[in-house]
Amino acid sequence: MNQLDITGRLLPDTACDEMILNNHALQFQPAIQINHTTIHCTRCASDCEKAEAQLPDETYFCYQCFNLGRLDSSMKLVHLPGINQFEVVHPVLTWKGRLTELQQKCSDEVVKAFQEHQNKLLWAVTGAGKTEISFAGIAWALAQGLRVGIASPRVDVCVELYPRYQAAFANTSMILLHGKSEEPYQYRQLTICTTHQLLRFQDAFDVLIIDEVDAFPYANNDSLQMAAKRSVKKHGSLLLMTATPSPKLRQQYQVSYLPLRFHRHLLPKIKIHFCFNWKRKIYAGKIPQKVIFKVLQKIERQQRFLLFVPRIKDLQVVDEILSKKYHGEKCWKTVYSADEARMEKVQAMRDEKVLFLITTTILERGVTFPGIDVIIFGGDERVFSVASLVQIAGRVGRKASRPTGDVDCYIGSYSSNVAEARKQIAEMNRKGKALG
Amino acid sequence: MDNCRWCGGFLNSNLKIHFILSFKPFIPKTLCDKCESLFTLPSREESCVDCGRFQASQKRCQDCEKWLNQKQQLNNQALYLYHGIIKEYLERYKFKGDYRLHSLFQTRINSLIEADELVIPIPVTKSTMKQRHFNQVTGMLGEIEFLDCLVAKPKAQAQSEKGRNERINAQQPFEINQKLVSKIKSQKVVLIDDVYTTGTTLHYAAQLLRENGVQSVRSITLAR
Ligand SMILES: [Zn+2]
Ligand SMILES: [Zn+2]
Ligand SMILES: [Zn+2]
Repeated sequence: MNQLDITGRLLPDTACDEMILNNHALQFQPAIQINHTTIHCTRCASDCEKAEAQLPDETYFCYQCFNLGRLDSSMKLVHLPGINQFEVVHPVLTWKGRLTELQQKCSDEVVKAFQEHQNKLLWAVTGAGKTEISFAGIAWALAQGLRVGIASPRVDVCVELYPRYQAAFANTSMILLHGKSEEPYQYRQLTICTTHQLLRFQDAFDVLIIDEVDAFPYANNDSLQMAAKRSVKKHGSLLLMTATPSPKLRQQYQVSYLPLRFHRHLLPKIKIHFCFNWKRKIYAGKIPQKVIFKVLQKIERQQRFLLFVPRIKDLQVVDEILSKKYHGEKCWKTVYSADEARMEKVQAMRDEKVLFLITTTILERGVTFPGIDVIIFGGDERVFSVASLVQIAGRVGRKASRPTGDVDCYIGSYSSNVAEARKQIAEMNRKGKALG
Repeated sequence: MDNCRWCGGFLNSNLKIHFILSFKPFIPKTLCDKCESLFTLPSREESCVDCGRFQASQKRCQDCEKWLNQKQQLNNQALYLYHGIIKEYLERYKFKGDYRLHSLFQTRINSLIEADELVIPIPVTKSTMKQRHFNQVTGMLGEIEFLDCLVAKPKAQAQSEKGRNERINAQQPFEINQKLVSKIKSQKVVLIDDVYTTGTTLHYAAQLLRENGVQSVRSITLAR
């Protein structure tokens, strides 16, 4: 461990070597503040009930950020203000692709925001090429010797982004950090991590990008939003990216807007099909004939797709019924958030080892499988928010060689979420058409 | 408490009418029904008579035969196998330090202790205590009364004593708190530990207690 390992970080003193702790530039703060009935955690800014957080020897621990390693009131958090000590190797940007005129405009706006230490929201429809749009801004920052972070609430998104950024910035040192990786932390010019990992940073980044900013668990999580802000240096920039920003985000930040996909084709519409009694059926362990027919048809045509269901427990029901109805060799897998084999299964889909995945909203965004269709079963369930539905529909038609595809949504009633999602897609297509 | 201690899900603790009419004491729930079923006790029919190891027969297992040959028999009862959900539990409670989970098994452990037995927990070393801030064994006991009369020697000290004292003593990882030694004389002792692995720890503790005049020693562990 050396002092670079701690610069821009916020770590418990118990995790640091004696030698590091003797550095005079270190800043210490108590890990836990003890109040009257609650304790306040410095790392995650949460309050915990004293009665719950108490250890038998009168110390207290934070049970909110417990998964990052227990912090207790006998510890201090150690921080060394961010220093940049990177060797810049040219060319910084090794990406050879070209941006469309519309992408270029957004890209220029992002560069300008970084140069002027501004925050920004990049609102680009699914398949607009957000990642590529961010390249020029990142390249500028890296070339200045600045430190860059790219964070996403979803670990799948981080895992998918990492090789793309590696290819685009082949001469830059980078690291991927998330709860499931074994790789220890290292001081790198470019850090790609889950938003949870940002809780371990303070004044680290000159530029921080948050991809899929409206996704669970970042959206509505005060602690993670605090961590994101804290991890950016005082004069740094924060760039938020998503296809489905909340109205609140759109108001809070200066927006760069891109309503057209990179291949200039419009977003696929959500086709609705009524199955009035699907809820009763699934309780009885059945699914509507129409859905089974659609699935079998796609298998028949060898059309790759994702089948979304509302709840984890629906996965098994659908899986069992399809196993009964389809007599060929099983060509699918089920995936949910806490699934141990989640990453392997997603990889199997990517490698075309399975024809389709049955999944929950966990795969609504971030992951791209070229040329797929989607089926949404029970699209009127509340877990399918407006943003979820728009994102799910956005999985389709991502490839220039197959810019369209089917989004079939099976519902019991025409819910306001489905109506609003269809309206938003129509609205973006109207704007897109005006540009295209 | 309205949340399940294990999964964090909502706890439905409404009292059912037949329960109220049964006049049984009310024990507040700490686990939801789903998690309660995760922690169902395995059936105990087929296990070693001495250490509680789960095996195909009820005979004494090989390890225990060895202990018996050294004239050191110790009867141990284990609630669970050290496996699956219990391994996960100890990982979260003991190693990661989520003390909120400390008393999940209090009732189950209590049901195995006889009224005339003196409960003695296996201690942790000072350095473990400094880092963990609790002894996982006394934590598990919850409200159950116990006598904390064993002291764990620091690991390094136990090492350096080797060669100086007789071999067995060098390996003895515990000492008796001399102030409490009078309280254990002629007592029926039940030692408590979290995991029974080779039995070494418990056998050393039992031996030390016998040397200090207890009437009998047996042990209970959460897992085996
Ligand atoms: Zn915390
Ligand atoms: Zn539970
Ligand atoms: Zn045995």
